[in-house]
Amino acid sequence: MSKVIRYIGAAILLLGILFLAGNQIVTASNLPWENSIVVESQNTSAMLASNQHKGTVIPPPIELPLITVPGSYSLGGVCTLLVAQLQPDVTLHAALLPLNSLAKKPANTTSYLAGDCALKFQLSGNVLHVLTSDEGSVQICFAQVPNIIGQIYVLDGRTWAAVTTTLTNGIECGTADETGDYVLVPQSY
Amino acid sequence: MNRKPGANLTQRTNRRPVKWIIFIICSLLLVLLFFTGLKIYRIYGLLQNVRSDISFLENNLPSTASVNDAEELTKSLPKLDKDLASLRTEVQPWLWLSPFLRWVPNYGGDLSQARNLLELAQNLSISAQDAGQALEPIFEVTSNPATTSSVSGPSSLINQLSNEQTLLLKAQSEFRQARIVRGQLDINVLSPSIRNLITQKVDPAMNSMGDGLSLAISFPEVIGAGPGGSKTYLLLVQNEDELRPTGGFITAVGQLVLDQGHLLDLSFEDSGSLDNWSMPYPMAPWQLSQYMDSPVLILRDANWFPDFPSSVLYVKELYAYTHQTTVNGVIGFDQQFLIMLLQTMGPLNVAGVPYSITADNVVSYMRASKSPETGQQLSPGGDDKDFIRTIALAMVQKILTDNPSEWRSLSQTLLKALDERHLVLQLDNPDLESVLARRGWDGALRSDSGDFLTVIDSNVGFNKTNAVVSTSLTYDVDLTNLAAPVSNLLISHTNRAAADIPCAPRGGGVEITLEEYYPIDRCYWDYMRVYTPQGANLTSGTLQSVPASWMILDQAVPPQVDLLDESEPGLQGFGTLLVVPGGKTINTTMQFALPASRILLKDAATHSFAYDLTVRKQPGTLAIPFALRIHLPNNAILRSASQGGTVQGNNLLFQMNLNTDVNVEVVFSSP
Repeated sequence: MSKVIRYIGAAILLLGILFLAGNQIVTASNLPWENSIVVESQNTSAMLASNQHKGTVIPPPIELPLITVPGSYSLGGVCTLLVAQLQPDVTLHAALLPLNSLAKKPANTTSYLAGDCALKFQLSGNVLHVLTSDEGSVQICFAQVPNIIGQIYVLDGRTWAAVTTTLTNGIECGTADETGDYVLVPQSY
Repeated sequence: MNRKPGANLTQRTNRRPVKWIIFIICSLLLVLLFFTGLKIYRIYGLLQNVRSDISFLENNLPSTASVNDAEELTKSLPKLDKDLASLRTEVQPWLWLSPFLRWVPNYGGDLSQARNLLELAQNLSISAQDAGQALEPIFEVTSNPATTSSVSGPSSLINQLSNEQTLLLKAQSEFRQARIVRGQLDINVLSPSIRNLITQKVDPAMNSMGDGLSLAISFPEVIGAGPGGSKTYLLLVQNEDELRPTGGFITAVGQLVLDQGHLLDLSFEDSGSLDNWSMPYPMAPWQLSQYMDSPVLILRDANWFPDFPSSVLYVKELYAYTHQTTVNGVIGFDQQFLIMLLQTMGPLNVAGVPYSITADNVVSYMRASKSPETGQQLSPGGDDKDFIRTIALAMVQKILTDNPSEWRSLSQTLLKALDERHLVLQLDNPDLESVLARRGWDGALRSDSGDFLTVIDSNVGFNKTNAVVSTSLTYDVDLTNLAAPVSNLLISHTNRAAADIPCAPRGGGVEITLEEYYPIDRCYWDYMRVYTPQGANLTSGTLQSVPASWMILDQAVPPQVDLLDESEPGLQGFGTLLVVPGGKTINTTMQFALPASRILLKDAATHSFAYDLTVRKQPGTLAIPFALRIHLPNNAILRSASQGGTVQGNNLLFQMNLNTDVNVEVVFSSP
């Protein structure tokens, strides 16, 4: 009898997992911000599918599960998000997009050093264009390209804005408090 | 005719003092002439002494100075110094006249530069004597290990160098003064014999001397015996069976810690275990991204840049992701370096290996070590690096053993390995940095004058096929139109792997017995870069078209040359992808329009042209055959050419092997 109960329990658990997973599939078509699908938790299979490299260098996934708690998150090995705090109802969706998806470069810039790390903050399902310090504190970091001082820029959809960038031990970091596309470009003087 | 009485008398009395004055002047002139003659005779004698001293040095000054030669030379220096001092004392009162003696036939130029020449000789002599005195115990022990010397091993060598820092610094200060004087010397006005002496003997000797002094002064600091304390060096173990720009795929990274000349720590880690994905990585160069599907640049690919100092910047930055260690330098070496060391040191007994490791079996031993023993598991790509540590430790212990007789042969091996770029160095020591750069030991890619050529192959095929790939280069330079010189470069790659192996990326699931861990029998995917002088334009080429099925991203690569933007000073880079199937040879050609103003130096006075070519050897390669053909203009008269060339009509042919960098100079006049 106890064996039967254990089998039934296992079957319920399995069905539960499948049910949850079925509701949370993320596909590439969900990535643009205009699409208001809310992803609430990580779906490993979907992420791996979007990040399959045939070479031997296998960086972390290019799309992260929805970030809801403080921590350090790597986005495709290109940028690292250092989330110091987030209000309970604030979420952060992060994805690494191809650089050629950006229509224009920041002024006086001819090339990108790294990017495009696309971040979207949401408060109770609504897009937060700007994250206040009460709502959360997030830093975005890129690797420095040796001998080049970088400058982080963010595109809020329309205009590029320079983000105050600090260089420490070969890492270029800046505050990420806007929904938008973050890139690293060579600093212009 | 009337004569006034007494008129003759008056004239006679008037003439007498004139005669006397003339007599006195003549006498004085004679005396002056005598003393001048005497002075000239003495100066001539002293000059002869100095000349014979210099001749002795000249005859004993080898092209590649060794420790023994240095000892012999320093012994003869006191005599030169004494003779120079005597000469200087003799001519000192007259030196102010020297700039005005330019008009003197034949030797006017030498006389006008007498002050500088004397100062140069004296500064060099003093510097060499001081250095010789400081290094005497080292010379003694290296030339005759049986000699009782204060230097008996590495520790006492360090002590000797540390204790003699004051004297060595004094020698360096004197040498720097000599450099300044040499800079002021107008070489063009000197007589041919003196000019040749300066340019062909003194200048190279000064380079060696300056480098030797910097090495002697910095050595204690470099091995952790200076005021800066212990030193940590990164060791890049590069495998040329998978050729990469600075020597080979970075298969392992080691850490060498030296303190007071003693080995404090030596450890190696598999390069595959040195990724820290919580950190951001630089984007991969587009070639790695497109041809190897690597989105970011990680440590094991960080030597993608042919300029070793540039690669080192990435290596240090990425190594810091997993180690909080301050690194004082990076030392890169390949398998050939281990062979060279074993040839010098003899067989090594490695714990756990039933036979001795020799120069002949070390490579096969290392290749075999990368495969698991029967019954054991090892994931493909996850090499066991213990064997590297075992070999390295045995070698370092042997080096640090107090065996002075081995120092000489070992130092020669190290110099050879540096010259042949099986060993490349980056040291955080400003004095030594300039020494390494001057000698090309820093692996930098640079050129600011003359024609330049280097071909850099990078294996982008996830395999070790370079073990069966051979390369040859033919460079044809056409100078028949001096205003618009052109060149043609032919690069041949032959892959001796089996002919029936399909060119499927990453093996394509085809398993070859005994090759799953060390795949050699494969097609050769090569991203080849060619660097020419800045201003050279590619005019045409014969390139390969690579089908999509051969590429990891299933994208065909058309026959194309990529204009590289790698900011290498004074150079322009061109890149192309080629895939050489087993049993095949792929010939790639590139034609260039060369910048005449840079590659040809015109001497208006003699109506002659100098063509100078530097061919840089890629680290990790052995001795790539290189054929150079220079077509001179019609009716050109060949004035001089580097050794080894043969003349065929208006053409000069050179056949050589690139085991080191090569420099060829041809001087000709054209009507």
